[in-house]
Amino acid sequence: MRIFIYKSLIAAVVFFVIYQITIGATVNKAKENISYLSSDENKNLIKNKIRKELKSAIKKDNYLNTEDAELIKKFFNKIKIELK
Amino acid sequence: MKISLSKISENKIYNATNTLLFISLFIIGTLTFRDYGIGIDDKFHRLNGFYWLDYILSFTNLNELQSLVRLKLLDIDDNSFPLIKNWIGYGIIFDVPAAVLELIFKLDNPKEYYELRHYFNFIIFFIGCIFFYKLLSLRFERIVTFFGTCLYILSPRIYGESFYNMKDIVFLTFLVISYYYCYKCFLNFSIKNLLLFAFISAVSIETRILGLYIPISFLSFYFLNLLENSHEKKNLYKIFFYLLSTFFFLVLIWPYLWSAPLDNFLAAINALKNSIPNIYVFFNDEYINNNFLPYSYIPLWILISTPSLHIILFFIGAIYVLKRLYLRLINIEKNKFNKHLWRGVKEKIDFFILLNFIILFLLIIFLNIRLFNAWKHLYFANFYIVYMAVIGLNICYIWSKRFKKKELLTSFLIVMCTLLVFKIVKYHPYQGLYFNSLVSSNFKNKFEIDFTALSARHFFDKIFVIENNYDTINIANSSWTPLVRTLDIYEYSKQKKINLVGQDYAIAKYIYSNNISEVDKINNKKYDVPEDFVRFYEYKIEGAIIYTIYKKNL
Repeated sequence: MRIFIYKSLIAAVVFFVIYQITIGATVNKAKENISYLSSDENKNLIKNKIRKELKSAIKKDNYLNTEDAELIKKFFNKIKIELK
Repeated sequence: MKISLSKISENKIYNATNTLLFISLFIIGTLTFRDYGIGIDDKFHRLNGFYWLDYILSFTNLNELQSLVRLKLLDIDDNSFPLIKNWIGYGIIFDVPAAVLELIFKLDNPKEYYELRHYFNFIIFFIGCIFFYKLLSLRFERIVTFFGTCLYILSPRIYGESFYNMKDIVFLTFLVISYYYCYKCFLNFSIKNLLLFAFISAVSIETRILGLYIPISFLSFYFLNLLENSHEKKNLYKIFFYLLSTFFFLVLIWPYLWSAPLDNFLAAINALKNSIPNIYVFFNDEYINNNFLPYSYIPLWILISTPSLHIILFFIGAIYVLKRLYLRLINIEKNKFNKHLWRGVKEKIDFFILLNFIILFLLIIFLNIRLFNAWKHLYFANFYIVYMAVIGLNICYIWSKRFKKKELLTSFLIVMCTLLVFKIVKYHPYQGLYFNSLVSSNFKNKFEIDFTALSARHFFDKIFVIENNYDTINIANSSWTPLVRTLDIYEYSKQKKINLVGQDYAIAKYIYSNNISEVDKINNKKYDVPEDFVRFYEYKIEGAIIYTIYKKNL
């Protein structure tokens, strides 16, 4: 009985450590990434990047190439017709 | 006759050396406690002390005293503090007596009442050193006890913090005293020893709720003990007596529990998980959210900020105890009761202490407990580290005796302890920011250094020397350090000269900067120093940058 209890206790500790190093660490990493993505700092970072992109777009003479411009124009026209 | 005479003189020398050690520590502490800056927590402890003193006085007829306490409370205003009512888990065992001392000595000058707290803090640490010595003297030979006590005193971070860390060092001290009485209980399971152990366990829990693991581990160990020795069953009622007494003392010394003992106690345990704020910490050159600290956080901090002598001896001691335990375990045979996990009470206490350390260490590392400010919240672990180091030292002593090299070991230890004393002197008064000699300057600067803002006093002194006219100086802060709390210790005319403008860099003449930040400095630019400021002064200790002053380039 005594040996059984000691072995069980040791096994429990070893299991806990192995679980934390393998599965626990992966779960923590995932949690950390989710927490980072939903953090205010990340939201501000994305907002700032969008602002930066918009500013650089305004500065350019032609932001879209002719082919893309034509494509978007056609797409908007189609939407416009469908919304009527 | 000759032998007994030499024994007597040996005893005298030993006693004189120990007395000298403690007297030196006391004198050095008494002469230097004024050198330490004001930590960021000092003001909060004062507020906590007067808040609960007011609560205690509301049960008495001492109305005049209560009005005085309320005046003091009104005087402590700082919007950077959390509401005291929300900090229910905060103990009062240091803060209320400190507030009473402030009233007794009628101290109204901030510098004086903060220094009084620092001295009181040191006295508690000093008492802890005496109990550590008493614990070792029960377990080890005299020479090992002496050098073991030296190791405890000469832990630079702990020594430095003993002057201003009113929570973790106080807890460490009560933990040491708890283990002393625990050992006394192992030696003699008497009601008197259990009562003293229960009282000190309650004090530890009151200081930090984490102290709960003392009765829990004692109880668990009792059941483990039952497996080894079934005669222990007769002591079961004493265990209940110990647990009930602990709870009784806890309610008695913790005013928060007076109104609803059980409910409030559970609320205090629940509050534990939110007691440490969610911030970013600078660790290994990265700003990391303290909800997701890497497993290496605590081991690495301990390895770089504990003297190498302690670390080496710790590993020798811990490996020795584990090996002995392993050998005992494999020797246990069914129904042979002469085979035990430990032989005698000395092995029992070693095993108990190592077991507590391993379990706590694993839980803290793997359960993602929020931490910041290096391993400050785990300074109590220094007891386990030093105790294991003393076991390591004991092994070295036994070897040295066997190979007749006792003098060599003694000389080596004297040299090592002297080197540690030199380090402590070199770092003074910033021993709390110590890194061991194996760490390069570059590596030191990859970690947060002065979270407690001790250097803020040095910074203001520097500013007052540079700006010795009567103009107001605008100072911005490119860190999370609350400079305002240190400003309190200066006379009013000096305080008036300083205008802290936070992160309003445009109107600042100087910027105070360090690597303490609650946000990720890489993505959040609030602490970025503007380009029109130049590096003006940098305060370094052994290559570690404590703080930097930037000045506007006019």
